[in-house]
Amino acid sequence: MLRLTGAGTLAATTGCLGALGGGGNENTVLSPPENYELLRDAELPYPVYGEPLPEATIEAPLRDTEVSTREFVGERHVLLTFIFTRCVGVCPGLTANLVQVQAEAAERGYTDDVALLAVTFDPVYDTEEVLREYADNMGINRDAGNFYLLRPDGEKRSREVVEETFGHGYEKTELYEPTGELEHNHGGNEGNRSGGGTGGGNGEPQQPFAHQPLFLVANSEGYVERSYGNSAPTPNTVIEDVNELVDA
Amino acid sequence: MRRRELIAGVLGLGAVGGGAYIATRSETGTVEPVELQTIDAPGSEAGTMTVPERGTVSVVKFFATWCGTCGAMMPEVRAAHEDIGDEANFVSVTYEPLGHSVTRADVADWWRDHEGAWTVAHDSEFVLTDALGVAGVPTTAVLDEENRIVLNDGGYKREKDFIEAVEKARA
Repeated sequence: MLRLTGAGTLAATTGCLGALGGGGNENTVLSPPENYELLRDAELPYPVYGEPLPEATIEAPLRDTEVSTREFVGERHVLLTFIFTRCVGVCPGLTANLVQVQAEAAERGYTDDVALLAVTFDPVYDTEEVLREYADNMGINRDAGNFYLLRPDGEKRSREVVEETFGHGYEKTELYEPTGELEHNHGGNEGNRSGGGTGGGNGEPQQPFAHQPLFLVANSEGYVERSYGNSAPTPNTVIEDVNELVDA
Repeated sequence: MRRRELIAGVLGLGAVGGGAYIATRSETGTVEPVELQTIDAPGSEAGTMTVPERGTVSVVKFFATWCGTCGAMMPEVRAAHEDIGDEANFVSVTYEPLGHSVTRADVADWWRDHEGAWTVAHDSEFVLTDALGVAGVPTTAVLDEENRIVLNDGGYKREKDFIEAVEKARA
């Protein structure tokens, strides 16, 4: 249980983390997720409903500062996901979900009540310059002050933060090169590898990293309300989660 | 040891970087028609459009202006539209939040740059997106005349993939 290096300490001091009567939790606002008992009993490597958001302090190069994942406790709800910018699979959808929440927050006037964090696990490629270009391409409003692109300082630190602290597993594939660019803008030759290759025939391009998506929603008290693993949540799912937290 | 388990979990999906699209997408079932706002762009008039429309086969391409793969796929969609545009109703749909960093004019520019020639629409309330369980782009859905899902799949699609799905929908 490597994540307990961070979360376990907090759990021990704050207590009250198990499911209470009726399946609710005194630290959470949302109802337990449908599969809560399975999630709780599965001893997943990432934090689930009712557990504290783990702590890691990570550099935010575009803001020339460092950010602790728990520095927003008492102030903002936190949405946190893990990406690499040259990903042409699921990751841009995860970032896009954060952008959707940023837009919803602007429309509903709660920009300052959320912190939107995307952590890269490809720090060699994802330099400050690359992250800036990514932010602009993805439609992130960098002036809103609630979006943080975080870059662990080096591959070792990335492994510590992304995998050990947050339980988001990833692995380099044989296609990994420190600076290799996927040619997804040049005629689509990443193509549909159906019938062969590591794409598995589901239309996914080959990528420098293998990973499963992880998208966390934590309330302003620092407790996880939703952890979407295995599959990316739809944008509306995430927006509804955050709206419910804000309206509570 | 934990790391090994994590990696085993990742690889257990059987697809590198993939698998993720599969879980939320509806692969069977019938989709209720919804009204989407259409965007003024080449081949597309501002207004509304019912998607999917009963009585006709629908080809729905979800995209976003930031999506490189979506842009790279456009020649394939265009070729399919030229081949079978009279047999099926083509519509490209974005569910990006428009009016913030990205505007309708940006979508129209993207459309023009990628030589789109059919209707492009905005699912501002995620109605169609949710009905099909779409969590990423590109996603391609093909529905038959009864609005039953024939195809609902992520990733790059070729001209022949569209044609085959439409043939299946018409069978």
